[in-house]
Amino acid sequence: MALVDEHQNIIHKVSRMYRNTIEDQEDLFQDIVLQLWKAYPNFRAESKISAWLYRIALNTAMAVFRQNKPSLEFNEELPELTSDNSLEAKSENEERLYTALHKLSLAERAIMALYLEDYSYAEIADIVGISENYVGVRINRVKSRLKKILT
Amino acid sequence: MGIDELKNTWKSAGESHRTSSELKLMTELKHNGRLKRIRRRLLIESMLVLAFLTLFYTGLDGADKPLWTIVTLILSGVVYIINRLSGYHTTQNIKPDTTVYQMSQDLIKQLERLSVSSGMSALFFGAAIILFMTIEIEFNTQKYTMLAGLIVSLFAFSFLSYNIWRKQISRLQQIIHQLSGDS
Repeated sequence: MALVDEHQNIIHKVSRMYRNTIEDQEDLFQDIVLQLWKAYPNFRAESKISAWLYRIALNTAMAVFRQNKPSLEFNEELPELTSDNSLEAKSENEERLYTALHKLSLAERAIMALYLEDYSYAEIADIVGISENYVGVRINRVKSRLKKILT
Repeated sequence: MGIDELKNTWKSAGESHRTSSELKLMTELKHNGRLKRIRRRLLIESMLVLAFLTLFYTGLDGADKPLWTIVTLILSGVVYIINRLSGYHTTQNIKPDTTVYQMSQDLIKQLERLSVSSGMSALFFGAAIILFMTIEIEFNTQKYTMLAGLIVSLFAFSFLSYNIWRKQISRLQQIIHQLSGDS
């Protein structure tokens, strides 16, 4: 449980990336913790714990079906980017990033989250289940899409 | 927003405000909000099926019907409930310790079996109800019209039961297409 506690920000990020409403995000957070608990006995110590956690979290987010509900907080317009270093600026940048991620497909979100977390192409390929070369192709496409969304 | 700024924003995002005891509670099935809602829905459905069976037996002179129709009706109700429980079991016992691609493929196979068995069990249950209601009845035009209405409702009910899983299957198929570049 200490491992989950230590990495709970990953679970939070995945929940927010895959669900629109606070209630659905909370449900997904709980589901991911439950699946991590169930899967832990098979965790191989040689794996990177955060990579294993991402694998379980992303799979749970995609496997657990939830009818998409319109979000009250979801804005079609992206908030203005601010370069302040204040907490408010950080929060606005986060909001902007999540709004952009919500415009990607489910698979693209998974690849992008791992890329933004600085995982290597080999590690992303291992989590997602496609070839390393194809990870590179997908990342380039998603980066271009994100660039368009954010400009 | 450049890629480095995106990475920094992503890495610093997320909250870690839950205590260890809150996280521990989340590992218990009985505290899982979503599963609790599914269990409640299953319980209500099971009670409704039971109420239907009782109503049909008492309200439609069940004791006077042939034994095999009563057995078929009860059996179909039980099969319907078992199928719903099997759906709960499948959605609760996903195998997330694999790749996203493999998990999606495995789950599609399970859900396809489930969608067929859901449609079939609903069809069986509905057909058993119609059989029970109509056996040993002398039909006239009005009763034939009612029977036709019941049969149409039966097919609609079976299709809805089959379709419950189709949305999730199609969502998983999209993930596979997106990953394999077919989209």
